[in-house]
Order: sequence, then C-alpha cells, then structure tokens
Amino acid sequence: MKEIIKYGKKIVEAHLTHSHFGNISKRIGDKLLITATGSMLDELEGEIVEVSLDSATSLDVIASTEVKVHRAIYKAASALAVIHTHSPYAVVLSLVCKDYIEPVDSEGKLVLHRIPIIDGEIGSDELARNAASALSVSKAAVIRGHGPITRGNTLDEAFVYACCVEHSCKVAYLALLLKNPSKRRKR
Amino acid sequence: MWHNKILGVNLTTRKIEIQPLDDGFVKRYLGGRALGVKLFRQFGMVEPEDAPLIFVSGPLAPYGAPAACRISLVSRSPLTRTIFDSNAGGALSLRLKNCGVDGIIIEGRAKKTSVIKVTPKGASIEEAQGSENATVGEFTAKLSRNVSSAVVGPAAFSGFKFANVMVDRYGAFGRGGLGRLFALKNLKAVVVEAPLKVQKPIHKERYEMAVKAVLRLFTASPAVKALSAFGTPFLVGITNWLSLLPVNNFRAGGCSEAESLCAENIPAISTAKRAGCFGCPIRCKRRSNDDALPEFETIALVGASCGVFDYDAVRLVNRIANEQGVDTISLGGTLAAFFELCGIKPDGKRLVETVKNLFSGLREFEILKEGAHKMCEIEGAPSVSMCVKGLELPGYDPRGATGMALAYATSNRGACHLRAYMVGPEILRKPRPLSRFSFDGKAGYLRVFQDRFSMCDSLGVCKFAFFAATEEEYAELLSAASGVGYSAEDLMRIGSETYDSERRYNEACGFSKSDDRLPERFFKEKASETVDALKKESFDAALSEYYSIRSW
Repeated sequence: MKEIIKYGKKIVEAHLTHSHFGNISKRIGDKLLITATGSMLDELEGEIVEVSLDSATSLDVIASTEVKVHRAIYKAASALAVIHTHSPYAVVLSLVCKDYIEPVDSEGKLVLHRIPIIDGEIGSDELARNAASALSVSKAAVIRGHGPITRGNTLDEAFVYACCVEHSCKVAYLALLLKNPSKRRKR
Repeated sequence: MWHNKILGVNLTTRKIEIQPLDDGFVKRYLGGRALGVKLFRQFGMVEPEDAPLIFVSGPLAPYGAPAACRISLVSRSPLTRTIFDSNAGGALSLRLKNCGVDGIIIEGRAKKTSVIKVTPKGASIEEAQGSENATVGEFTAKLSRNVSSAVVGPAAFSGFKFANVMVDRYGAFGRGGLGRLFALKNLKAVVVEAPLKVQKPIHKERYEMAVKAVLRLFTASPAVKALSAFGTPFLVGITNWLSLLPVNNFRAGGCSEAESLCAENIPAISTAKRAGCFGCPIRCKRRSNDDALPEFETIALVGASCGVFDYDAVRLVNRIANEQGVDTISLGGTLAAFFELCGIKPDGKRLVETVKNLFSGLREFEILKEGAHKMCEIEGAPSVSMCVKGLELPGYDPRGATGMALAYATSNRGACHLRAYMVGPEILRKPRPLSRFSFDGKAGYLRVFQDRFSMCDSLGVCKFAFFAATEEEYAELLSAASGVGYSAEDLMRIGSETYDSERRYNEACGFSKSDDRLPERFFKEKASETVDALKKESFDAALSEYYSIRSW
C-alpha cells in the first residue's frame, strides 16, 4: 500500500493528473490493491481497497470506477501494476488522432513506438475489453478524450510509461503547433 | 399530486370522515414525514399508548416517479418514547392516493380487534376478532391481489415493543414498535383497495426529461448497480472489510468468519428473484420460494452481532420475524445483548431455538419483548445495551465512521442509520468521500444530511436514490409533475424545519442534550486492530459544533 501512496503523490507532482482524477492498482497474487472511488491520488492513506482479481465482488462498489478495466488488463497482459491518469496533452492528442499517437521524440519512439487510442465509456465493459486488448501488446494506451493507461511489472515501470506518454504527447503537440503555422504560410 | 384531503378514522366512536386540508399547507409540507409530523404535532403532547397513527403518502407516488413510492407513518414510539416516523415502500402510497386522500389519521381504540378498509368509494371499520394470532403471511394470503396492506403480526398483540407494521407482506414500517400501537388500538390491519393507476404529470415533456436525468444517474452509480446485483447484502463485505460490521454485540468490528455472510458467497442471493417497490427501477429486494431474503441489517444484527455466521439460520430467523411482525434490527440487537448478558456464544441452531422460544411466549424470554435497553436496565447491566434513546444500533459500528457516530447520537428517533445516512459519504464514498475517522467538518455535513433525508422522506423517495441523484433532480421532477415550482433549497428548507420540529417535540417530552450519547463501549474499547475507540473529547467538540450550527 505504501508504494501506491508514494506513486499517487508522484503522479500529482508530475502534473500527470489533478488530485481527484486517475487511479492506480497493484496485483498481489489473486488480489488487487486499487485506489478507492473518489480518492485523491496525493492523499491515499486509508484510501486503498483490496478486491478479487478473479471476478467482481461487493468491494468493487468502493473501489475505483475503473476497477473492471484494471481487472481485465491483468487478466490479458503480463502486468503487476496499472496506472491511469488524465494527462492533458495525451487527452488532447487522443481527440485529434484517429487510431494511435505517433511519438516524435527519440525516447517515445524507442520506448512506446506507437500509442494506441482506445474507446469506451468510463468503467464500461467495452473499455475493459479494448484496454485489455491494447495493453496485451503495448505498454501504454490512451482512452480517447479521457487519458492514458499504462502497465508495468512494478509501479515504477508503469509510472515511467505514464511520464513517457505525456512527454511524447507534449512534444508531438508542440511540434504540430509549430509545423502548422509554417504550412499555412506556404499556402 | 395532492387531494388536500385526509381520511379521519376514530376507532372509539367509529366515526369516519374526510377532513379537508388547506391547499397552501399541504404544498408547503409536501407529504410523507414533513406533513405527517406537522399533523401529529396538532395533537399536542400525547403518550405513545394514546397517540394517533398518521399515514401520509409522498407527493410523487401518483406519477410512478423513480424510487418515489414510499409512505410515512408518524406517531410516538412505545420503544423510544420519541416522536417517530417510519416509511415503507410497496404500492400502499399510490393506492392510498388513488382512494382520493393524501393520508389517514387513526385515533381511539376499537372495542374488538378490527380492520380498516379504504377504497375510492369510502372507508369502513370491520371486525376481525380472532385475527390477533394470524401471522402476517396468513392474514395477507386472504386478501385480494389488488390491495395493499399494513398488517401487524402476533408479536404486536403479545406485547413486543419493537413490533413492525408489515406492508404488502414483506415490506415494513420498521423500527420503533409502531406495530405495537396498532395492537393497543385493537387494530389488526389497514387494507387499501384501489387500482395502480398512474396520473399524467402537468408538464409531460419536462417531467420525462427529469425522469431521464434521474435514471441516467442511477445507471452511472456503482452503489445503485450493486443494489441491483446483490440487494442490500452487498454491504456485508464492505462493512466487514472496513471493520464496521458489528460482531458479538459490538465487542468487535468485523471478523474473518463473517466472510461466509458476504453476498457474493451466498448462492441463494444470486439465484433469487429480484423484486422492488412500485415504480422503482433499482429492485433491491430478493425473493425465493415465497420468502424474502434477509436484508443487510438483518444479516448484520441477527447474524454477526449475535456471533452467528450461519446464513441459513439468519434466513430462518428473518422469516419468523417477518411472519411475527418484528423489527429485525431491534430483534438482533436485543438477542445480541441477551447472549452477552447470559455469557452464551450461540451457533445457528441455538439462535433459531432462542427465537422460537421467544415467540412461543416462554416466560423466561418475556423480558426480551421490551427491547435491549429496557432489558439490560432491568438486568442491572445497562452498559450491555447498544442503544441510543432506547433504539438498538443498526449495522454500522460508529467507531469506524465518526459521522455515523454523531448521526446516531443526534437522531430524533434513536440509533438510526437512516436519519442522516452518512453511510453514503463515509462508507460508499458518495456523493463524495469523507474521511471516516476524522470529526473535522462532520457537524456541518451531518446537518446537511439530516435535512436532506428528512426532505427525502417527505417526498416519499427511497434513500437509495440519493446514492445517485440529489435534491436538484427531485425538485425538478416534483415541479414538472405537480406544476408547482420547487427549488432544491425549498425542499432542503422543508427537511430542516421538520428535523427541528421533531427535536422540539422530543424536548417537550423530556429529552435533552444529555440523551444525545452513545454507549460507553464505543469510547472504551477498540473495534479492531485498525479501528480505535472513539475519542470522547473529539466527539463532544463535534457535538457542540453541531448544536451551534443547528442553533439548538
């Protein structure tokens, strides 16, 4: 639990999400530790719920509304930690790109290659399916208009990917912004 | 919709009359709890034994609005001796409105056991001698299908101070023993025969939009989804995990054995038929083979609090209690105190045996009919009674939810979770989470939640609706349906006035701030390794802040 609390603070400090948004989980055997619904990521003391990895239980009610999505990812991908943020540049690019975001920075190209964009309402079966499918092959995906979701074998790894997604999206966005005025001038 | 009429029935004189109500008065107090309390207070100070029984429907019932078909019963409790309102679902609220009245006031005492029958054509008092010992199931089985009924079982006539009035067989005007008042009036039942006809709202399109807004919020709410999936027993797992589930008469909060009582571990819950009140899309009830499965509170009090983790035994006790017509929270609380007093650690078999002995009228169990508070007082062990103002605590240990602790203490009807329903923010984290261990800011929240749920009871809306929707959506629903403009503030003001009015009545009955206290156990013993005893100074400071906010 201490690790989740630590990375909750780091996520907010890194401006990957505002305090009230996003969620974090960690798999321990056949259990899942996940942030509670409505919790603030920079104040997670006593705000973490233990639910079953196997299927929904009554404790899902007080777990993050995305618990179903986290569960589906663990079942489909080799992961022990999942982070979901509402990082603004990633959200913006997910609204203007079609199927994926193409990193243009060297680290993003190397680490992430292409970042798939997936669809689905918050906490829905559709989102759970799409996230599980995307993250079974990619380290990160971006839920359209919502935010990135990353996986790792440790929370640190998932956090690195979350930082990398936002950095790549910011660079891609700024590059696009500078490129477009020159295009307009040419016209 | 309002008829501005109330049916008056005097059982002593056998006089039945329609009493007109002022239009402005009715619209100001809406219905349900607010109107019921206002009407009750017109009788001045009355002892529970002489108190009128006042039924009032909610104003949204005639439209079939979502989760809005509840009816209130207001009187003075023989158990707590406070003013007492209780509300029930089913279809009684709508049928009564369809008889052309907003409510019923019952006074006096019949010479012989009687039944009041109400139809759109009028009302009558009919003799029902010999029906005293008929169980709730036996009595309702003889009624036709197009009626709703408020019936008391044998327990009411045999002196149980926590006897319920059972509604449409499985529902109940619970807590506080209002069923006992039926028996004291020689009244077995109120039977209402009317069609389940729904009225057209005044502003049809606006109303439909308002309904859609409420249903959208229901669909998005995890708590509402869990209620639909498991019924109220979904709370067993959560309260146990949070060390809030009362175990062994609140000597512990949660335990590993209680996992056997969790909804997901009980096949009968997932295979049972879903059922619900008229017009309610949530359908939180569970029925199986003509049997209502136990609700969360029953599992918590009759099961865990008695130290029994045998679901089948709890289910059997629940069935007996519903047939006899007693409140299962008070029954469980009284049994848990009884077992502690006797130093017994019952198993399922012993629990069922004790309950059967209790209802068979064995003299040594007679004392349990008084409820936990009086029983422990008589036995010279008041500290064993887990009650506030004489009402047994429900299934949330106050040590792990400070807002609930304050809510129990300041409730106008004793230890009740429904007066302020802090379960929402402190346990289910809705509408937004509040730290369950801190008293900071709780006094202010408590006032808002007490006012909100007083208003909710006055609208005849189920509290579960407020896991998702708010007074904003229901103000719009009521305005669109009735054509009378209500804002959320208007509704909250009615809730607040009602809460204050109840408090003033209780003060006139002799209650004071010194009655706003919790059992000492909660300040002396911890609930679990993770949940400490409450800190007296913090509790008292929050209470003082609350009085100042309320101007009490």
